[in-house]
Amino acid sequence: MTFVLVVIGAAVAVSVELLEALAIVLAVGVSRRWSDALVGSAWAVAACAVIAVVVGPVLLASVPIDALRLTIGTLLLLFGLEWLRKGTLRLAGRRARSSSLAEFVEAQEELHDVPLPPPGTPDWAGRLVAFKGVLLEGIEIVLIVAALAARPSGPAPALLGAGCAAVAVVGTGAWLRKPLTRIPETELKWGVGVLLSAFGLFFAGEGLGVDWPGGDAAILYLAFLLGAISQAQAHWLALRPEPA
Amino acid sequence: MSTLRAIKKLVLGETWILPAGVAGVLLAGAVLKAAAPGAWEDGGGAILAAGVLAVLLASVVRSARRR
Repeated sequence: MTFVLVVIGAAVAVSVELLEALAIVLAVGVSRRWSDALVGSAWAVAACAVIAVVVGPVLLASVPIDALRLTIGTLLLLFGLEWLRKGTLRLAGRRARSSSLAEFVEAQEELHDVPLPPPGTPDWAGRLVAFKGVLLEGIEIVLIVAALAARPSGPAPALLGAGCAAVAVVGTGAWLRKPLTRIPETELKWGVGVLLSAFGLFFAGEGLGVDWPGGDAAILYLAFLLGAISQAQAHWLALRPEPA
Repeated sequence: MSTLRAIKKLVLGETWILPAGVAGVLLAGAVLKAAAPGAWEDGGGAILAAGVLAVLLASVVRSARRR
């Protein structure tokens, strides 16, 4: 069951991050030149691949099993709780809803005042914006997938989930060539926060010698608990007046 | 510099309550495990879950107040 849960967790987390990166690449491609958007993205993908090659094997090979579980758990908890905090605030109306379209517009505005160089000359501004956007989202993907892949059961489920997400998101983006505006990103990100936090809590507990009741099924009731508490807090906050 | 700042933000988040709170909960867990290993194995999960939930609730309340 952990296999399926890790596949789902990795796929959803990577999809959300890829959507944000895709929005920035699309913005550069649409408002500048596709060749420069793709060159900037390719550099960032290469940099992320180097980071993945360094981080993955180091985590897998050189850390003792309990320390590894604790490290993975801590990393996932840090990511998951941050996403869950933002998600709770968004659901309560205390923070702007998440939107790749906003990232698309922001990236276009960032390049608005920079003149496009003549054809045949590299557009360094466009390349840099694409590079920066893909690199930052890519590092997050590398850290999440490396943490999920560094399970004693092996990297297969995390890599499978990430691969499915990459094919789906990049394929859809290449076909549509515009941001996917109908996706409920706020709810998706909240769900990713719940999943990553549950994984993190479970793995950190294992690393500290906790015997979770129900074994791997604990991930499910931990996710339910985190989700229920977060929803309750979002409703409670939504009913209270905002501070002046 | 802005890229480094962004990387720091994506690992540690926007608020110090979460990393500090998670560190505090895990440290308390390690201390309790050393003090009572048997009881920790059975009841440690509930303590960790309660601690993490408390950290999450506190971080949301603090963020909501600051806006």
